[in-house]
Amino acid sequence: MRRIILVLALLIFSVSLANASYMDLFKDGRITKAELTNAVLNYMLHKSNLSFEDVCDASYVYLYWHGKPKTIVDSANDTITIYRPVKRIVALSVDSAEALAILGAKGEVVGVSKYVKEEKRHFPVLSKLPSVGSCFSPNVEAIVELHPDIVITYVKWPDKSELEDKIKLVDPSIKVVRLDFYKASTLREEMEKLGYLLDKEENATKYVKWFDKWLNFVKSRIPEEKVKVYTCGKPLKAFGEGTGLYDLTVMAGGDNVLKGKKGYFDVDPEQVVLWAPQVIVSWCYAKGYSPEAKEIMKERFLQIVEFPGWEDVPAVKNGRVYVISSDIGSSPALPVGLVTVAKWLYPEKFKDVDPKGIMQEYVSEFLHLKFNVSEGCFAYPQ
Amino acid sequence: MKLAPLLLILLLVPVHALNVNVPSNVGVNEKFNITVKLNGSSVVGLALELPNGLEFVNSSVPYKISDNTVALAIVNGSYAICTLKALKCGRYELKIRWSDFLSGKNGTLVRWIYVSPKPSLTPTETVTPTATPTRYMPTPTPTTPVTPTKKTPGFEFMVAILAMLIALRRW
Repeated sequence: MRRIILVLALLIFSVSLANASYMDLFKDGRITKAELTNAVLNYMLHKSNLSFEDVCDASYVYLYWHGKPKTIVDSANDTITIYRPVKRIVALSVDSAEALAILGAKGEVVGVSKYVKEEKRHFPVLSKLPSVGSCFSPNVEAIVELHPDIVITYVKWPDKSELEDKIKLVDPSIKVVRLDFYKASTLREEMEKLGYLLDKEENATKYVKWFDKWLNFVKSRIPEEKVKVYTCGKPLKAFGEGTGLYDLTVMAGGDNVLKGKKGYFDVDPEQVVLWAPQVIVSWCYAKGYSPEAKEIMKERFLQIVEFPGWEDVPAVKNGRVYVISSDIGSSPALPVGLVTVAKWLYPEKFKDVDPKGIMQEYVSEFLHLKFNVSEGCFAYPQ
Repeated sequence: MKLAPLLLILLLVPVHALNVNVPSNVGVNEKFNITVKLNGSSVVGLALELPNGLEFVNSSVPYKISDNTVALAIVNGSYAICTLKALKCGRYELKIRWSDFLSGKNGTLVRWIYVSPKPSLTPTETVTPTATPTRYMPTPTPTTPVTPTKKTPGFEFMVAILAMLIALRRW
């Protein structure tokens, strides 16, 4: 027993010594040429407690980061500083996995959410990686075993006590980065921040340009007279202010009847009749890339159009009830969702626009997938 | 038979974009250069294990010496010149360990140097030693232009010729 304790103590001591040595290179804020030269010479003479990987990382930081660490403020308002190039990433959310695919960082991902594993058509490469649970129930043990440099998750999920606090106890070097990648208000900035952190600025810029192009396009065509829209999940589960779907309809130029009411909440059927929305947009978590998506979305569509007492609601009466997949409504594919909703609200203004074509562009150009979007279902009726 | 050209190509390709040029023949008491050229700018460390009979004189890049090993550091550069002096006649094995810290690769090269009693036909200009010898110094700027030693066919070249001859004979 004493021997085991001694070995463990030595191990911890040597690990802390190695870490301290690497961090010592930053003691004056940056790695200088003299410091790196000294590190290289000592390593070559076997007189260094820096490992080969340490010297490689120091060289990379010196050459590509001007010797300085990289810092971002994530969407949870936490300051994240990294001192080495990020080589191992755990993506705890589907949206961060998609963002990593866009940035061309699939190769650095070592673990994914169980939901990514379920989406083989959406993530043909990443779905083969080990699962680390989900953002709602992360498996901290599995995460730590993968030795990631960073873990990316949502701002709200999981709670810090379920992730950061537990990880810190086992491996404090692992950084948790909270970036949503599903909200229109933060998506653009988040992609730039992650691109910067991973040295994938070029791919981030390409995405941001595409994002801006469609946002500005929609903005330029929104008419003065706005359409009244109701947003929901199931027919009576309203999606109010601050939810992705609400924001999407407002960005697309809709006058949402839920204005002033925050979050997700239940409504009375009579209230919907009183609001008399001209368009109803429902949110569906059907996996748009899967062959079953169309049936699931159709089912949601029928729940609304056949809802007892809603026959005279203008949206139902005039055939303007639509279902949108979360794959385009709240993900980095958001510009596709935006154009789709804008066309539903103002068909005349957007009659020359083909959302399916934009989705195909996104899938081919940004996700680098050989997937025909007609094989999936992202909006219903199509 | 078909493998012969492939073998030939493999033997002639330099080791991982790191070209080390060592003269195969030098005269006793003669100073000579070892030149290291990289394919582009990088961070590379070299460790020369000097046999008894060869002495370190100077280097164009920062260096450190420990026992019989001289470490050189190329930081954000693409070449290094190391000047040695042959002290005694004989055939010496020069082992050079290298680490490319940007590509994450490393390896060891072995070169043979014959030191003969007569001086070599092509005298080598060497890196001017500093006035005060130091164990470690910042990158010196050579005061005289440094001409790399004449390229001499090395071991790989000889094996390549041999492979070619075998291939041609079998053909």
